[in-house]
Amino acid sequence: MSEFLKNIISKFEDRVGKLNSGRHAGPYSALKVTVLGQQALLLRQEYLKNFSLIATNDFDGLLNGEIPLEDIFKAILREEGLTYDEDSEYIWLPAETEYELIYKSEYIEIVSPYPIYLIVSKALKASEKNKALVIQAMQEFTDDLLQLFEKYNVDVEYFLDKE
Amino acid sequence: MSLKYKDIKNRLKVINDQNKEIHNSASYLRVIGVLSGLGFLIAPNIKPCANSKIDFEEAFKIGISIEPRVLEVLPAAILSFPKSFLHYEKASVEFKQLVEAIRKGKVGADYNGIKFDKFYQAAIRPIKNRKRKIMTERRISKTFRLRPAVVNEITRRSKELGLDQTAYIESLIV
Repeated sequence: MSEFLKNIISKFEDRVGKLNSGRHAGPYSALKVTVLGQQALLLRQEYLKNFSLIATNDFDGLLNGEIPLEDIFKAILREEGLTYDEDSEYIWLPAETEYELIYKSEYIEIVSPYPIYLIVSKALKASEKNKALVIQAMQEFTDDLLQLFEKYNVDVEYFLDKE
Repeated sequence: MSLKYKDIKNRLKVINDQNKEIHNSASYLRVIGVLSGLGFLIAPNIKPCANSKIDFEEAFKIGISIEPRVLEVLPAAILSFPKSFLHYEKASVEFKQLVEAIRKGKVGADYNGIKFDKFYQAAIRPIKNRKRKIMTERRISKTFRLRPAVVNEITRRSKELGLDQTAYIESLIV
């Protein structure tokens, strides 16, 4: 896990721990965060070391939990220079997407789709922005990725055209 | 899929080798280093260098040719840190219009396949750089020629409300 995410988790657990300790109704249920987009790839930097990964400061992800915990999470993102993208719920993923558990505690659970599914999403929905990234991914995950591309009618030749 | 897997793999290797060359070039590292150093990009494997200056054309070229995220944050970076980008005057009219639209908070045209809103969001998004004020918090200097009675009234009412005169006028409008 990246130092960056560790820092966010540490701040979040600290604040929610304090909030829970003074709460008569009992502790809040853990917030479930599904990290998507470029941030999800950055989480797997060690695994994707052949990739040239760059991200802007927006954070794509789904938050499932009680509102105060979602607000705390968003506030911590802002402190860390990220802005939560409220349109994250519209991000398309393949039907067979499988998720990896990144972290789990009594306060927060972080999961993220395996990179191959994120790449299919990017190739289909934001091909122009992710051309170099998709080309890198095609070389890395060739057969599995090409099968998914075929299933979802991704225009492979677009990525192979040299402008 | 009309291409055979073998053909795809061969072409991938050629394109990837070319891209790798760009990703390892001094120009790419410099551009990404500056933009991440200023707080507009996250690039964990590239050394940030906020204090360097880069040529506008160099950054623009990287944004057009290989990394559209550079293009997406470039207008925001130019607006916040104009001195970091040398020879911006050489930018195309369309690009300058895009930057001006963001600066004025007007709706502008999409650029090179990127929606205007993406450029605008990059400019108003808070970043982890204390030297930069986000667009929506900036103040723009404007001069009005008002009648003395109006000036007196602004002074009186702003005092009554405990606001400075700018905050009072803003409160009437926003």
